[in-house]
Amino acid sequence: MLHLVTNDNRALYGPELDDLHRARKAVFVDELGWRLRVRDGMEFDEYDDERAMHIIGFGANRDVVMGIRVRPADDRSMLGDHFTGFLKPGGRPFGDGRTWEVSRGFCRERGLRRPYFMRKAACMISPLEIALAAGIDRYIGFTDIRMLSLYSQFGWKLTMLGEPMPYGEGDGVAYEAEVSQEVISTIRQTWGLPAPAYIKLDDLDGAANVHDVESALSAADPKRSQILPPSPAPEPVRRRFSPVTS
Amino acid sequence: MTSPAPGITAVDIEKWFQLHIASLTGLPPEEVSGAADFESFGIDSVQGVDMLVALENWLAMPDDIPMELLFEAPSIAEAASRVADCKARAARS
Repeated sequence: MLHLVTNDNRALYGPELDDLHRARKAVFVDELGWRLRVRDGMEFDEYDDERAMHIIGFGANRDVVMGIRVRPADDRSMLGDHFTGFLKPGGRPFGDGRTWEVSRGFCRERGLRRPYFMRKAACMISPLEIALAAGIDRYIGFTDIRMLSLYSQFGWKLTMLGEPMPYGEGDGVAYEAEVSQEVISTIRQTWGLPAPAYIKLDDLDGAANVHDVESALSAADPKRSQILPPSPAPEPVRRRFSPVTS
Repeated sequence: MTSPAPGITAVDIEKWFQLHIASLTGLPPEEVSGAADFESFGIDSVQGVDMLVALENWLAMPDDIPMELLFEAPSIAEAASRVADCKARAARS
């Protein structure tokens, strides 16, 4: 189950947000080698402000295993501030009030069987659902080109905003992703996801923490329980390569 | 990898899987057992989807191979057999 954390309910997620930023440090700094700002073992940047919204998925041990950040792009954006060289001139302005940015997406959960892909699909559809409800019609983002097949496989409709170019860790590209009911419906149907795929908690309703609320909600909704974390995938027999996040 | 001959068989596809997984993992192809499943080689979702797309391109079946055909199969050999069936059905239709 995916949780939407915004400025409204972030007080419910103190330890979980710390865990999110630790996970981001582990993925982007330790595994991918990106040179990012780290504080107390956690990765933060200038877009982790009160306008940032985080979609977080927890594993069987209640640790953060997937996350993605979305944020309105009408005041500033990572793409507009740091990756302008990747943009073709003359594109639609990011500050048009109908554009959000997606960034810092990761998934540390391994497994190739359907339950694992369903959870990733839930993580991919949630930003679209949240944005559509807010009157947004596209996301912008920057990604390593290795991720493009995966995004498409999950049903995102992408348009490249420039040519792929080296970014220091591989080849990257700026893109926009369509936010529409049509795209959402297709993904929802393909993966059999609940609507919406995420939950937004306003209070704990007497529970000790957000995980207990999640458990109660899942017990009451079989469709939602399908996107709870499956048992961990077996450890690989042999590996001689570095993990690539997805 | 070059395109397959028209009479592609499950054995050909299994060999393709073995070569592809060997290139991902650094294992010698002969150590990629057809009896193993994909997860046992530590393939992640990006690599899994890339493999699916590469297979579709090799078989000239763009967007025609369901992900489950590969990753729900109990073994690479079984996945190869299912893909071969899928290819044969597509050729008949």
